[in-house]
Amino acid sequence: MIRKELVAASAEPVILSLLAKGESYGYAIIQEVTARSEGELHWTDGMLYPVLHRMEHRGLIKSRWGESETGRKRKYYSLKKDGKAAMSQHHAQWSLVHSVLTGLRKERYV
Amino acid sequence: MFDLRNAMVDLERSFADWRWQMLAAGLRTPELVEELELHLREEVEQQMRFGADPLEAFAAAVARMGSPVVLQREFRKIGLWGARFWWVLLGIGSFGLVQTAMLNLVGPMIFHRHASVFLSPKWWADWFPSYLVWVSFTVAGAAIGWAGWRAQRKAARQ
Repeated sequence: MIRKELVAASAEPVILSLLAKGESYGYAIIQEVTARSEGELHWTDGMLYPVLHRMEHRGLIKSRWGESETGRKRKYYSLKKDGKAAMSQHHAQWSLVHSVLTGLRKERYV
Repeated sequence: MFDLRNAMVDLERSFADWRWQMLAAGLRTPELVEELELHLREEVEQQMRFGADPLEAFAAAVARMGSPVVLQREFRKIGLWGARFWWVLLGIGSFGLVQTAMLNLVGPMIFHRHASVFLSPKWWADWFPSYLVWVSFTVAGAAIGWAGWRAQRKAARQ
């Protein structure tokens, strides 16, 4: 299980990257993150919504009320222009952290 | 025999109780509570599809959602009210400015006389003090509103 600080820090880039594929809603976002991380990236359901609302407030994503296939109301979120820019920034930063870690690990085995 | 109808009635009652708990914890935005409730309903349905009892599924979904108090604290941090407050202040300030401009520029065109607040013969004696107060209030209102809104946007972007 991934530590909670890392879970919190990765929430925004993960949500942005997920929404870059197309609009989605809270429940589906949690399901997909759990499936993709094989349950390692564990989000409490309640934690997601404040994050989504904060991102919307900051102008990174937008929301609209729609309907599910069964006719139930659903709130869909999608990426905004600022969100795309923020996502690229996140990707660059996380890649940098990743390359530093990989580089250091390789050096250990040289 | 398991009575699904009664179980569904109990489930609806549980949802109603949960909404009250949300209200009691201070989550008073109907749209937000609705969004969270729709999430719970989806989770409950999913678990029932796998054969879970409705009330057990509900209890599990609520547990996954987390405590209403913690949720409310998280939402409060977003500061949506902060932004709204500054917008209102900005609105009042701008309204004041527009009103002053109308009074002094458009007013004379319509009524064929100078606006008494600004250009009456003895305006400086009669109106100047209150005019000064009026203008400084509106200008200050607009300036504070604008600065506050900018600061808020900047903080939100970080």
